[in-house]
Amino acid sequence: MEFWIVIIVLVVILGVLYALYAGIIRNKNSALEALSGIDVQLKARSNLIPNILTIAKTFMTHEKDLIESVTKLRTREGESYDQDDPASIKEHLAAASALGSELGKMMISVEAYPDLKSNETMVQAQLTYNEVEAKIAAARRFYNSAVAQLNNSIEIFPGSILANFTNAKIMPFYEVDEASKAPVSAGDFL
Amino acid sequence: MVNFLRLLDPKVFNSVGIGERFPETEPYEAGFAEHYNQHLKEKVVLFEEARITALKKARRNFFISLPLFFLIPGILIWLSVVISFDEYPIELVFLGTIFSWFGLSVFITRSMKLYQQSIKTDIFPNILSFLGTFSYNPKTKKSAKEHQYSELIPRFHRETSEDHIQGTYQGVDVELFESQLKQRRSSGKKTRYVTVFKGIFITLTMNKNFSGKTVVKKDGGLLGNWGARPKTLENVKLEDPKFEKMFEVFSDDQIEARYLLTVTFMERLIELAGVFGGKTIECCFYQNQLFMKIPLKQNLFEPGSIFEPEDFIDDSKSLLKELNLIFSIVDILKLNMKINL
Repeated sequence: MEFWIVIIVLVVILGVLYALYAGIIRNKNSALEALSGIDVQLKARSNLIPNILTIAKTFMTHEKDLIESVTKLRTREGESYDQDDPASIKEHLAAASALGSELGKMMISVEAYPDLKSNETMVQAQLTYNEVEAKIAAARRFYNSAVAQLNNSIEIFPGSILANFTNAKIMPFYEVDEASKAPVSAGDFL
Repeated sequence: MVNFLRLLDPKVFNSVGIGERFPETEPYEAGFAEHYNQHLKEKVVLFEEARITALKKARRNFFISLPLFFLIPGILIWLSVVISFDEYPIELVFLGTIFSWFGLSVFITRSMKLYQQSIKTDIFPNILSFLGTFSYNPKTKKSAKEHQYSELIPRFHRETSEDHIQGTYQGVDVELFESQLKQRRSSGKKTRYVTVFKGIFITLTMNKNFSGKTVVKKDGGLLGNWGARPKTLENVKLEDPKFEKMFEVFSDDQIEARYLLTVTFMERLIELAGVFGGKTIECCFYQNQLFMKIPLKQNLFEPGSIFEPEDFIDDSKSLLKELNLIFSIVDILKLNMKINL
């Protein structure tokens, strides 16, 4: 009788451990899927940038630095990275965030150039840009939600021990660029 | 029975107070007084005559039927005594009485119902024309089955649909109809039909196409949500705790679900539930449409009381109020905006 009780307890413990193990794997895959979702949207934004820059260069003669910064960040964001390395992911997301911030500045600068602002291609590009940014925001929400679930599952005991067997690591959140968080001064735009 | 007694009240045949000016008391009624004068006022006298004729006919039929209400059960009881109870079960007396009373009620109220139907077919379209190019059909073949893709239609065996309205509001194509769905439930030999939904189905055609399917259902608790999850869709966890408490979201595209259900949109959906008396609205984004299922206790788009003088003012007010409520979905959810919900 005692033998069977031990067996049942062992089976239950193993079952729980397996469920936790499977949960971590599931969360890890979900976070990676969300990361891919971000990349799809970032790629869409990246494809849009050359069109915006082509039009902007013609009109925005005083924004050379900004245009150069966008070009550099686009190249940085497009560089390949290791999806299994949290540091590499963090760097990739930081580049994406910085590019988003610079593009945001560029879109605000457009307001200072009436000819550019009313340009039909630019108007269309701005609308598409807003749409892409909304999709990036959605992808970011999905990614952060998946990452929060993964991090919780591998930081809380006994997940913290099981994580070593699954090769799951704490993944970085996709945070909004510091510049976007800063308070807005109306005077800058007037 | 109350309606039958009102037929005896001479006041219901009075035409006092008709032909007055339409009072614009609500913001959405602005300009309707002019529309009323142009399209409705001229029909008031004609319809008031029709109303009185219908009431007189109903009262006459009531007097004809009154002795029959007592005679038929009497005859049935006499027959049961003559034939003997063994061969003529008492249940037949009850059933016969109920059926005969039902038939007499139809006979009495028929003229009143026909009159009210004429208000719906002849007057409602004139009221709706104030809002633009809207079509109205009191009878419809629209079925909830057409929207089964939405994962929001409960299993049903009987369906009653009416009041089909279609048109464009603020550039958004709106189509709606009232529906009551009943499910057959059997216990032993007894079969009964239970209402599983009563309210309206609204389809709003939007200016964007969705790549996936996103369903927003009312939160059914831990067990309820487990059973409510559509097979092909995944649960979507959102950040707004108030929204999460009220709704459960399922989608086959996690990113699109979050693209549609922005923080602002979630707040608007909560606000909309408040507009519809706290009833939880359920919806589905699919292809280029937003399909909504709104449960309601009351029957919408019905004419006013036949016992009041006819001037279409009450009809217009209630119809405009109900449609304004529905249009508030477009306004609150800002579905007319081209980019970003």
